[in-house]
This record gives sequence, structure tokens and C-alpha cells, in this order.
Amino acid sequence: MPTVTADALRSIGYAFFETLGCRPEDARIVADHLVQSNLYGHDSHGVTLMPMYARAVREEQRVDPQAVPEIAREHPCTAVVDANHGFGQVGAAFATELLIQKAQQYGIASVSLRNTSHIGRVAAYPLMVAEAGLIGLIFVNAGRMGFQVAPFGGIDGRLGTNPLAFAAPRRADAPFLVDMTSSAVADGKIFLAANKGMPLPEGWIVDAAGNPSTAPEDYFGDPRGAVLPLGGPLGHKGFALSLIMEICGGGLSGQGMSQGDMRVMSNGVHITAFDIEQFTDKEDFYRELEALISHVKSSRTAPGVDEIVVPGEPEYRSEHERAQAGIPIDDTTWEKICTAARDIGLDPTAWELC
Amino acid sequence: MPTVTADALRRIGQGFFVALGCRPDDAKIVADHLVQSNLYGHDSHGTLRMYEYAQAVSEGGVRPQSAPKVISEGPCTAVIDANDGFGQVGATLAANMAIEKARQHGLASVALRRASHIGRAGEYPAMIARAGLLGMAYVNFGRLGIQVAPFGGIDGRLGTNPLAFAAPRRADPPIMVDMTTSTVADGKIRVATNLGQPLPEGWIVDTEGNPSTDPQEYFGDPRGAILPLGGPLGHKGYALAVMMELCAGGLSGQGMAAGDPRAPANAFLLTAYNIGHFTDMDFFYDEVEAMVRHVKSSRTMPGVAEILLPGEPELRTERERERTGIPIDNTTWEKVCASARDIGLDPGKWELS
Repeated sequence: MPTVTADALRSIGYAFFETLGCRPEDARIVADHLVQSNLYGHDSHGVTLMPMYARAVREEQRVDPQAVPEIAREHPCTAVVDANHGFGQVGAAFATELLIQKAQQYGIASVSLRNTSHIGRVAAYPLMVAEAGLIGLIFVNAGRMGFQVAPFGGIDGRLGTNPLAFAAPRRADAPFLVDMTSSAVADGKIFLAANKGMPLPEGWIVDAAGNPSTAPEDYFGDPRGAVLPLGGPLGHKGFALSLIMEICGGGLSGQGMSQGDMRVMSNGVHITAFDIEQFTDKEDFYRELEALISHVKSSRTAPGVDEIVVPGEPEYRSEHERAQAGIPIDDTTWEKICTAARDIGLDPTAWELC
Repeated sequence: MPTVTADALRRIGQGFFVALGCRPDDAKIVADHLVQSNLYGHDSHGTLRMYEYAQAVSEGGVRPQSAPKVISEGPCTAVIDANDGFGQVGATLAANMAIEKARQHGLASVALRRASHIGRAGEYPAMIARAGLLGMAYVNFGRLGIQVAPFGGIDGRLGTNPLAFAAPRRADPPIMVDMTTSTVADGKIRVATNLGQPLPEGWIVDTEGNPSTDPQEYFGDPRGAILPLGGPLGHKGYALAVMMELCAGGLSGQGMAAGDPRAPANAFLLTAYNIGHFTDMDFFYDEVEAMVRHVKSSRTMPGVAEILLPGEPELRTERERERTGIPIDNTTWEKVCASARDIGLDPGKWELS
């Protein structure tokens, strides 16, 4: 299992995506995004996606590496960006920069994004907003597909895993950061369990007949099973969150809402930014947030729990560790990346890993 | 158990809140809100609040004459101080401002502080959706934060912090989401206590952090805690709860959960999105209807008759109660009547239909 430094992995990524046809600045955006996912410990959204992205460009021709995102509609504090089927990270970064400018001017702003393929780890964009000192909130669906997650009370996949993410700046620490699907789990975690040959925890999926299952292959089977909405017996809440993602992410972007239409694979994205100072004194906000975090962390813990962590802390701890120790990449993933690189004429044996 | 028509209950409510000291317009806002909760079947947020609100007025926690004041305003933002008036009055003003600003600018966010109790949070996004826009509400309880444990914790450190959303449909009433970010609202624990029923597993822990189904454990001294939404995936409910603290408590200036019981009040952030600024209304409506059909085409689990959209149970109850009236249990009714007599009204004269 190779361990690669973040810098080395970025360099590998830049060359990979430039060879795939990206402009150098776009190659940087995509590669930096993937490596950041690995740093945060979200390996399912890291460099493991490189072979899939290469396939989307070369074989499936779903992604145009040369595409330039365009503003399709614009008002002072809203816009809709059409990513023109380029890499999702490029369109989403463009949309987020536009969003930040607008929110800084008007106090709040909202930008939607369509024809964007896969935008990667959705939290990256609210995090950009928080790093600019504002609050960021993103709602994402998978366009018209909607075949992964059952509605509450149902057994057939009818919705995407539909993530939402949120970030807010702190005075002296890295931003507060929420990144979650509205389903019990992202299906990436089911893939991961399948690769490792591990059973799933109870309550994640049902098989094709609607029976509770812990076998990952029941989800990927034909006919396929379904992921359950967040909440277990209170899954009406996860279901409701998922519909919010469909309506905002798919509706306000023009990408469309879940209807089992597999023809276009793209996220529908809706991001909102709030300029804190438009509402309240920023020092007050920071003071309240630090008081909240101290209050929450003062709770006694349940048996087996070391400490109460706030959303984002696991990511930052992983980043801290992996920035020092490097990013471990399992052999299967690494071999697939090397194969994809050779396919586009690169020589992975020439890669420096640190 | 009396059954009262919605219209009669609105008149009774309006008279009640005028007698409590509200201006007639404000009395109508509060009474209509409570009756709408009953119509939707959310009795915990309905008429029974009349005597609680009367008590809050008599204790000085709510000032019925206060008018909400806009303390800062931009083209698509505003902050309103409800001045400890009835929450529904301030929140209704916030919704109307959000609608007006979003119609003009495409989106608008209005924050509200010192709003006592805003009632059923879902009402305000629903107002926005009835006006043809998307509405989203985030709510916290200011600095209180004693009800819900953080994920992995056993002590109450957050509010039940509801999130509500509504979206218009072409020919049907809006899709309406109204949910706490905890497993349950503590009103439901109160209801179980009153009925002497055990709670479902997974809702609360006792003061030592042990799972419990006994509602008394939650209200005990020392008290237990409600768990965040998600069970073993409760880090998600916890994250949502903290989001509500930051958006509602933070942007309104009311403050975030800190275990400070001195000024218990809802804070609120209401956002309206003008769909037409983003996409064509016809496209939007077509997509909503296609999604609704797709979702409802799922086979159901054993014991589930059909897939219901968020808001459908409420709309069905409304249709039924519009016809048959609103049933009010004797305990609640007796307390409402006693409270009315305390403020000089004669419930014997109330017409119930």
C-alpha cells in the first residue's frame, strides 16, 4: 500500500488532468479538490475517482475537460451557472466565487449550477464561502436520476443520496463544517464495505424485496435494493430533507428532480451565502459560536465515547495527520490509478511519491 | 370532549387575545396560527397554547402590546426585533418582508430575535409557498440549549431546533416540511406523559445516559436528554441542530445554545427564494409533479398503505377537520375556559359552531 505526500499526489493529479485535456488551472482545481478529500479522510471522494473521471472524459464522453462554465441567468444577488458538462469542480468553484462576490455586496446571495457532472465532495464549496468569512450552505441532488434511496415507508430507490453541507467561520479555528447525506449513508460507503467484504450495519439498506439487509451486494443487485432515508423509525425526516435537496438542488438549477431518468448524470446544485455582518456584529457571532462549542463539549459522554467532537473536527484531525504522515492509498485503488494513467500515455513509474 | 368549528375557534381565540391586551390585528394573527395548527392535526401547537400564552403574559415574559421593529435592513435582508411580543406577530412580519424582498431581488433572508414562541415553525415557509416562492425556516431557542444531547453525549446541550420548508405546486397545496432536528419535539414527550404512555426506544436517555422509554426521566431533576435525529447516525441530526443554532441564533443576534435559561425565546432565520429568478415556473412545476409521481410509485413496506409527501398528513387532517370540526380534549378545554375567566371572559357565551 503506497503512502503518498499530499504535494506529490497533487503533482500527479495536475499532470493526469492536463493529459486528459484540462487547462492547467482547471487541472489544479480538480486535483486539489480530490487530494483535499483524501486529506480530510474522505477517501471515497479522493484520488480513487481519477479512473472514473478519465472514463467519463474518454470513453463515455460525458465530461468535456475543455468546457468553460457560463452564467446562464443573473440578477444582483442570484445567478444560474451552466457548467457546460465540464468537470464539476471547475463549475462549482466558478459558481462559488461568483456567490461570494454577490453575498459580500448584497448581504446574501444564491447561485445554482447545472450540467456539472459530479462536483465531488460537496462541503468544499461552503468551505470556500466560510474561508471568505461568510456562512455557506449547499443543497445537492443528482438531477433526474433518483434511484438510490427509498422514500419513507417505501422499498424502491426513488431519490438520490442528496447531500447537504454547511460551513461557518470561527474566530481562530478552521471553519465549522457539516457534510452529510440526507440518506442513512452515501452509497460510496456501501461500495467500500463491498470491496472489503464487510457486512453493513443494520438499518442502512433493504434488498430488492424490501427486507432489511446487511449484505452490500443486495444493494447493487439486479433488481437492486435501496438505501434507507436518515432517521430509521423517524425516517420521514430524512425523506423530507431529501425532497428539499431535490427541490432546491434540482429545481432551482434547472437540472431537474428525481424521476428515474438515467440519461443525464449530473448533480443539480444550489448554494447560498450569508454575510454575517449584514445581520449581526461579527464579534458577537464569534463569541456565541465559541460559547456554543464549549457548552456542547461540556456534555458527559456515552460509554465508549472519548469526547464530543463538533462537525468538521474529524476532517481537520485527519488532515493534520495526513499532512505529516502522507496519504495511504490501498493497492487496488493505486493499481487502477496507474492503469488509467498508462491508458492516457503517462508513465506512473516516473511518479515521485514524496 | 367539545368539537369546535375552525371559524368559531378563531373567533374565540381572537376575543381571547384581545382581552389579553393584543391589538385586534395581532390577536387575529395569533389565534389564526393556533387554529391552523389544530386544523393540521398539530394539537400540541394549537389551542392548548392559549392558556400557556396567557400565563406567559401574566408573568411578564410576553408583552402583547409590543410591536416588532425592523432594526437593520438591506435590499434582500432584514433583522427584526420582536420586542418580546407574541412570536407569531414578529414571524408573520418576517415572512411578509421575505416575500416582498424575494419577489424583487430573487431571494431574501429575514432574521428575528426576542420572539418568545413563534408557534409552529412550518407556518412561515408555508406562507411563502402560498405566495408562490420557496420558503425555508431555521429555528433555535436562543442561549437556552438544555434539551438535546450532542452525538456521543448524554447531557442536554442543544434545542430541539426545528427546520421547516415549503414549496409551491402547480395545482395542489404546497409540499410542507416541518421537523425537529432531534428525534422528537419535547411536546411529544409531554403528550406521552399526559397519556401515561411509554416512549418509543431511541428518543431519550435518562440523567445517567441510559436509554429510557419513561417520559418522567426526561423531565426529572436532574433531567434526561432527547437524542439527536439518526440513532446510530445521530452525528447528522446533531450537525443539523448546530446548523440551526448558527443560522437562527447567530444571525438574529439572539444567541446560541449556552445553557443560559434567562431569556428563553425563539430565534428564527427565514429565507425566501423566488423560483422565477432561477428557472421557469413551468419547468419547476413539471419537475415537482414528475418527482411526486416517481416517489409515490415505490412499492411500500408491510403495513404502509401509501407513500405520503411531507405535508400530506397535515392537509388531510385539515380537510377532515374543516368538515367535522376540531376536537379538543376536556383537560385542554377546561384550562382554556379557566384562563378565559381569569381575564374576564365568559366561556359560557362562546358559540362552538
